[in-house]
Amino acid sequence: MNTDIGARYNPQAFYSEITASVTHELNNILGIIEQVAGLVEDLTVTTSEGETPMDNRMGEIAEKIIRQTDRGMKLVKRLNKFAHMGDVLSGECDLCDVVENLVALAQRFARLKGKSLRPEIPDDAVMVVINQVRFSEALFTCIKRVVALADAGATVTIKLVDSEYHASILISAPCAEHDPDISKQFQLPENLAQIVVRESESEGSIAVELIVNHTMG
Amino acid sequence: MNNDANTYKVLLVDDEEELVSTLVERLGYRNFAAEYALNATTALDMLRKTAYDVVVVDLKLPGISGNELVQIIRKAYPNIPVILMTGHGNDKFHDSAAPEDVSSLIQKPFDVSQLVTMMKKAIAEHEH
Repeated sequence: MNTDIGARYNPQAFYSEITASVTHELNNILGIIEQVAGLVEDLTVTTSEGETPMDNRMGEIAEKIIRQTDRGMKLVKRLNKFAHMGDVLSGECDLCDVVENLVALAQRFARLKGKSLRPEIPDDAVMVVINQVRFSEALFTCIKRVVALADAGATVTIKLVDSEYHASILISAPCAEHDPDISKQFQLPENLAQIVVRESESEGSIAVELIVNHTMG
Repeated sequence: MNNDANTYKVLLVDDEEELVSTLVERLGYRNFAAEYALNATTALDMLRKTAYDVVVVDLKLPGISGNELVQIIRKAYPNIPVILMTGHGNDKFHDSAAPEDVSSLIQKPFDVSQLVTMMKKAIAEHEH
């Protein structure tokens, strides 16, 4: 797998990957709502005259529909926010917002690998000038790589920390076996961001750091 | 193999629990005794313990993928028909799924009657 972002930079492919994943999940949500609606129909049809079996099921069924509708609406809002990232080539934005949204959209990739993502985002805004599409692709590539290397069932933590001159996104996870070539796999264009592959302080973990200067174009 | 002459045993494999738990109930109204597994490992455990007439597998499963599970079932249980569920936008097989490994492909979202028809057809084809 070529994970050299500089060589493979292709916003269309990145957008395709994210939108395909999200629309798969939306299909699942619609599938659940369709089956729950069908169940209401089944219960109505199988009810004999004078019986009211729906009474004790209505609350449970309504909860399912509300839960799935809410899930779908949140997903559509996130996808819409993601789609609008390319409206401005480069501009000021809150990095917390960008990281939080991308991590949420990437959860399914981790879940399908039997792993999960945990964002740690500061309460205060982290304002930077970046190309959101390129930054997000870089972050997504790093997340996918760490997910691939992390131990089975691991939680991958994505921690955003701000400092005077730059913001740092540390992607870390338990990892019993290190990949000696990992630093070669995280080459990014110089004008995008600087990747520092940190040696783990403790054995059995992996940490990749994505650094964003506050005024990076 | 069946509970009675008109009931088929079906195993649904999908990590969307609200989908499969609802399908289990709906299939019960249609003479299918359905059970579900949320991942491939659990599905393989259930297959070892119960003789199912048909297995319905989602393509995207956490851990062992739907494709991998289909291939394992094909080798270990060649007489059980498998139907593949997918949320993919077109109806072609993709990734490593081989058309000969599965009886049919059903796209999400789907009507339960469509699934019932496919399962009956797949079971009938395997019985002959």
